[in-house]
Amino acid sequence: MLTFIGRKFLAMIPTLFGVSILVFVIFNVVGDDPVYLYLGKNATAEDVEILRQSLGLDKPLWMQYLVSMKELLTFDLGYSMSSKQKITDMFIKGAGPSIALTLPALIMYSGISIILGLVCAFYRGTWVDKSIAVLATIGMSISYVAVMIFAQYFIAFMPIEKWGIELFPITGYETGFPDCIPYIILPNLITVFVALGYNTRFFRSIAVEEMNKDYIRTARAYGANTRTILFKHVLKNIMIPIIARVVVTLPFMITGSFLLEQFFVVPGLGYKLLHAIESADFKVVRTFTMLIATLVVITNAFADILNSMVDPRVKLS
Amino acid sequence: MKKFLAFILMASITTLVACSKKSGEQGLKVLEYGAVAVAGSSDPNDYASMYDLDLGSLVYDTLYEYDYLARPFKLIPGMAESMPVVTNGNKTYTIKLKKGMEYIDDKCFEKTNGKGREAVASDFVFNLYRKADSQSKSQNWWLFSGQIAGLDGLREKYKGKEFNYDEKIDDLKAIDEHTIQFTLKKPFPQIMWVLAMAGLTLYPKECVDFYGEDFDNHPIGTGPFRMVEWQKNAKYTLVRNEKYRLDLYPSEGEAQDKAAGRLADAGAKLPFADKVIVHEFSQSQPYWLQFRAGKAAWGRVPGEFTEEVFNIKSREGNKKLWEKDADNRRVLAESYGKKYGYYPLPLLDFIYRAFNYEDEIVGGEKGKKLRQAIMLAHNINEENDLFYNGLNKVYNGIIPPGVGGFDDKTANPYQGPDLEKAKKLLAEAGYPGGKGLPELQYCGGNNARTMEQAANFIRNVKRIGVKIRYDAMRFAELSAKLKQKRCQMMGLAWGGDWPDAQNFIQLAYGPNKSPGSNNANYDSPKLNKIYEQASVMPDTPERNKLYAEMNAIAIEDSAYMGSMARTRDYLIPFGTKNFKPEEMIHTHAKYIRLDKWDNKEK
Repeated sequence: MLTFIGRKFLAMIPTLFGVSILVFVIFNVVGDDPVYLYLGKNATAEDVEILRQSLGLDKPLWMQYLVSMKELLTFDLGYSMSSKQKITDMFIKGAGPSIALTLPALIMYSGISIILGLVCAFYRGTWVDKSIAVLATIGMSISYVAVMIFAQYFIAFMPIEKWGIELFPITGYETGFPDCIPYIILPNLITVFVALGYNTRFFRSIAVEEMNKDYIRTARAYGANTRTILFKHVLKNIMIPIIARVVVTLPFMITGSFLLEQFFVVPGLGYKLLHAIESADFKVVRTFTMLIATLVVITNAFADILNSMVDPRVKLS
Repeated sequence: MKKFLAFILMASITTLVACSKKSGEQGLKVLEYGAVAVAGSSDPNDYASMYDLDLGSLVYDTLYEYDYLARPFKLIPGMAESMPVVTNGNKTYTIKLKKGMEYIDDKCFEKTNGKGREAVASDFVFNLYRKADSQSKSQNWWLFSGQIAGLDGLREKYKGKEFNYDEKIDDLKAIDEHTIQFTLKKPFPQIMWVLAMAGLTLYPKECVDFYGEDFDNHPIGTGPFRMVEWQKNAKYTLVRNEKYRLDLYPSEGEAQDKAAGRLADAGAKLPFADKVIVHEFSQSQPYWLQFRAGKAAWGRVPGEFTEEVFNIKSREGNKKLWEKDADNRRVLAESYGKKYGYYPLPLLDFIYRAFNYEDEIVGGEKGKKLRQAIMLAHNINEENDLFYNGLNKVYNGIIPPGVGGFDDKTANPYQGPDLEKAKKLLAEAGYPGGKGLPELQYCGGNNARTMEQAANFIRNVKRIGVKIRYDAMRFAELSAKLKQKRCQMMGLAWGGDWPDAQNFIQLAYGPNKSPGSNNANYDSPKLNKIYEQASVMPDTPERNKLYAEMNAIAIEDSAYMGSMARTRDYLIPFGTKNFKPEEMIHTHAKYIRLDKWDNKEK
């Protein structure tokens, strides 16, 4: 196992190196010039030159790349040019709200959709299956933005306007637990609603495939009850695609949901990234991109390890 | 099942605990409001937008401030004891500070174990030195650049090097702890407006040294409030600064102030609020819902909600005819009229398109007829009706309504639409029917409305055979392109920094060309000469005449297309007292009182 983990981490190096080169080229070679933005509306050519020097943009590209790599590897990222915050602080403070907004939803919609998927597969072709399929399709057909606008208006705003009852805050976020709870319930419910359809359909299809296998027929013939068939046999055997699907979404849990954070004004990483992009804050965007890349690589390795644990047929080779 | 019920019970208790958190705020006078924009910086060295000033003005006090109720604008002493003594041919300013004004307590005051010290004259000198320090990357150096010889000298001397903050100069100094004196190279009549900007405050050098780059996150001022939390790009929370100087609600105002009850608190001690929470949004929908839910002491009607808020009498094509009252003000729809008062605020605004005067095709004298033809092909009134509900003020030239030098009768012979004349001028420019003219490039923002406006403009101009390609870009990219003179045409807007036409005419002053504020790179020796002459003159009819002359030159040269000024629609809940909208003033929060506070006290 340790050899496998070690090998996985070694394999990450060329991937991350490639990403770092790509990111550097995008932001430092073909991207916007941040100098003009930060000098304000009354800059002089001389100001441009001085700022260029102070940001190190007058140095050769290879040297700029090495400096940026050193900053990333030592976590000495300096300050964001747009928000004037320490970049490491931005990430530490932003990760909490992002996770609070997405992780409960992930647990909820994964759990519910796995159960619904199994139920659909078991009752395949019956009214139960058809009803859930129709509801899932409806859920999939409504855009995320529409659900957000609808929920914010009808669930958060309207009760206040009509009856003076605040079921959920319309926007905002309070740092720390449990202060954050009222602010994260509605965004999480929205995510559950939007993700449920897709996931139920996905889990249904893999469960249906599993239900068609010989061993299920044998189990039925031996008189195994529904619960045993679904949760002991089918669920165990479809864990690999479930793990794969859940784990690949984990990095994006941490980096947050851009739209949700923007609409509900939650200072998570997604919201911060949007502002950084708008402000051509290339240092923040670059760090963010590298963070996502690193998380993706790590979680993929993690998924491989989990798969080998739930299914001994998967070899860590 | 038992476990499940226990979980539900725990979750409910947790939620209740969370919901009851606000109980600690009971009895506090909490003022909340919002904006569809974010403050980028709290550091007085870096204010770049009115939203930065909104934040800065609450935590930092200024030497002078706008008289809250007076119109036309009037300045009154803030941190200064009185108005400055101006000598030496309007060049030397001596300003006495009020005594005993202390900074908020903070750990950066190491010598006094965290107790904030008195604000002294040398703190103002430090502020200007820091702006002159090229390594501090100040966004506000332009305010004093070229004004004080000694300061310019220091800037030059330490350009790109470590600045010596201990070096003394004669024309900017603290005569004693409570007296500031500076001498300008030449009279700068707008200096008083500059001194009322939050960036020209006093702040302690030791705190800048202590926090370094993190100073932006620790504003240390003498303003009416102090910051307790800043969720960047989302909200900031301030509480009353108990050490704030004695500041009283104004006792005089306009007749309408008396009628609106804005003088009822005359002489009362400011600020009224114990706590201020400012919510920042990037989308207008949540902002608007938050306001309508009673979570904001005032609100600006976002453009897309105008038709919902005001009654429309009838429509004629794109034009909406609004129902108006006896005072010629639009009438609120019934559901809004029951809850809010309405206050239309004309903004000191210059919304315009410009041609790059250095461009080979559209620029200079050579491109003049082409520019004029393009202007004549467009219909700005139609644009106003289509995109601004017909509510903008359309005017000619570069001086907006509301400042000296503006004349509603100013004519622009090249204001469209006049397609025949446009075609004739296009032919005279050497491009009959657009033949031989390459596709022109037009740079602007990438939000939906800006792009639709651009499409309308392009469609209009196409009628005479001129083809234009729109390059939509993010503000950062647009800014960089303009500063590098890489746009042929551009769509821009300028909000006044102070109520004087000079602030707008400087956009057409040759030496301010990109990367300065003159993004059109317009350069007329005639206008430049008059600008230099007018720039040292006090506010007199003679100066306004020169302003009008420069306006006429800019119109004739046709480097700028336009113009429009917006009217901002403010809704004020009936329970909000003393709110008088004005975007040149950034200190509203200290004057506001809410009825619900009084009800709680009773």
